Amino acid sequence: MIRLTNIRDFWSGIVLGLLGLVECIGAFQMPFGSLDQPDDGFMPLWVGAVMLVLSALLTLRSLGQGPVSVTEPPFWLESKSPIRIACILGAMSVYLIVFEGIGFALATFVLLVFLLRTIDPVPWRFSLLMGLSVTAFCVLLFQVWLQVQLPMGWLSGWRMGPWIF
Amino acid sequence: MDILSNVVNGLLVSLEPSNLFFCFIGCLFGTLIGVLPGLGPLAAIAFLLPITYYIPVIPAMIMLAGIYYGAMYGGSTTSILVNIPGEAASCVTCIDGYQMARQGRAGAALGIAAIGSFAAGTFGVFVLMVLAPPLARFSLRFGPPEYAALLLLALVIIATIGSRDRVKAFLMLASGAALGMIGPDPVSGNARFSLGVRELYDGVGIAPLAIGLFGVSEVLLNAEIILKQEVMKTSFKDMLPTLRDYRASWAAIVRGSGLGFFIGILPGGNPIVASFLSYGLEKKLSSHPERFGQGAIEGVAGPESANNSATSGAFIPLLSMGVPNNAVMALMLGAMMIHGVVPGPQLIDKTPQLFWGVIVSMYIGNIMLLALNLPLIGLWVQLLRVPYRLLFPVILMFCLVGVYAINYSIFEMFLVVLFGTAGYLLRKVDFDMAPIIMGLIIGPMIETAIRQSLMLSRGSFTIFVSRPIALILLAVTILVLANAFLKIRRLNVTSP
Repeated sequence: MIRLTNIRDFWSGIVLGLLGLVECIGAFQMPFGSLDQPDDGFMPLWVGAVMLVLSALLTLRSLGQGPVSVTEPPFWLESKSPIRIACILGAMSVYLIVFEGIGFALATFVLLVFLLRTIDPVPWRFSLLMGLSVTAFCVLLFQVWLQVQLPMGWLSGWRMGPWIF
Repeated sequence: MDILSNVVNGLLVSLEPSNLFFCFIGCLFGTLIGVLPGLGPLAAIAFLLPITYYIPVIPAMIMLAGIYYGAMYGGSTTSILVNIPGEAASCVTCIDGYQMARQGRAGAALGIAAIGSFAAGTFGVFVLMVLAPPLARFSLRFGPPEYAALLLLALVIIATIGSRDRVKAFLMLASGAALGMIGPDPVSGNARFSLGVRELYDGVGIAPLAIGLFGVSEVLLNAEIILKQEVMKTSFKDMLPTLRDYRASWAAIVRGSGLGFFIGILPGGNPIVASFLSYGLEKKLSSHPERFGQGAIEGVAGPESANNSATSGAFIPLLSMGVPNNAVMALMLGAMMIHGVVPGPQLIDKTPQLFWGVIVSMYIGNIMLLALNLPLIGLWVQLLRVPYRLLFPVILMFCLVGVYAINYSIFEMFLVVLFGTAGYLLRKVDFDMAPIIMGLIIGPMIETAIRQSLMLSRGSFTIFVSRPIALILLAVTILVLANAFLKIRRLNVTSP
């Protein structure tokens, strides 16, 4: 009886196959041209088709008659792993949302302290000190040395003083 | 004589204070990246890519090259002292290097690794100087069909050599190429797959993709477990190998340098492959192969020389033909394109300062690295003691702010998070990330070459077989491809 021998490969094949299908559908909506004048959709169609074939191969390969693969390591290495990953991704997403609103310096400081305190907790005093010094270093590197216009947000009315600029 | 005058010009360029400064920064940062486990040269170059937008192209390239070969030097320190490879190419150094450290010979292992790396790096730079110009002249004969065939061969070899699972590697290449199709059509200029998003009209940037796939995903993988590492003690006093050590390892250094350079030139050949092959070669040639794995100094000298020499070799196809043969070179190509420099046969004639400046700086960088790695070993050992929990928030923040600094785009920062998450999940299910970058960069190049070829031949595919160079390259591509899929079939048949 045919059964799933590698669940990860099966789902990877399905997801990437869907992306290949999207690429093909998108390519069909563009002019294909002719062989002597290939147009916008020419190459995307080929790439999409290759993705479809390869993902089908991956999916089919994951089906077999043997037992379910037992050699695979567990998906999460520790029980707290998913919480750590969710915390990091969540913090990064919030950072992006507030980045322009509250400004680079404040957002960066909060992000650093949050990550230092939550993933593998560092003492408060050290977290605050490190957050402050890394933020200051970034301001010097990006704003002063590289002249990058980072959003100042809530601190926009506050002059950083002639000792920096 | 011609080479000599070019070398002198290159020396003048690389000795300019700003170029020397960025060479030092590259070497220092590369060593740091090599020393710290969990961050490789790919992530480091991706991480610093945004900064290169703000400096001229010559120092930018000098710095990126410094990171690449600097990481090879630094990687050995962690392998020898902690038994964790600082970066992938130093994996094999763990075997005998760590055993030497356990026997109280960490200094000799570190010393021979640094000296071997220096000798190999010097050899690599010298051969690069001699080989790159004639190869560039030869590649002037290449038209669109030859380029299409060469790029196709590069992609196929990359997917077949460097990966454990070829179907997955090809799938990642195709995914990268699909991402490369987003943005303006190379011929008509019409926006493709941009979904009405203004930021996608110019396509997916190399920086958000590389930083997401290599920087963020690396942090996510490392954040899953809390690493505790024990560091072996050593000091500069016992860093210098004995005469007996030199006698035992000089031949391994020579062989490693030659083998590494040859592997580095090949498409898909990278320092990892070079170091493993060198270890195998040394074990095979040794009259006492049983010593390997027990602390044989040749097992450190050969692979460390090979991985350094391979980094120099990798520059040949990039600088002389414009073809990157691994993901690091693809990022370097991206950095050059950002500055409007097109690497290839014309690079040596049109921008000799860049070509010779970068090459000579690699030699100067090797001297800097010797100085950085021998007397400063204590500093690197201290750095190894910095817990990852303090490093990762800083890395993440630099990833995000670095990308923002390129186009002032929050959208691109979101792309970093998106690609970081995708990269993390893909790596968890055993997909390699390097082919995606190769696909993103080489995919549109192949598209242009194929479409130009078809236009030249008025729609006839015979153009790819009627020109001798293209025919040979295509024949090799088909052979490699057939061999790869035969192996996949054989594996499928033999596996239960």
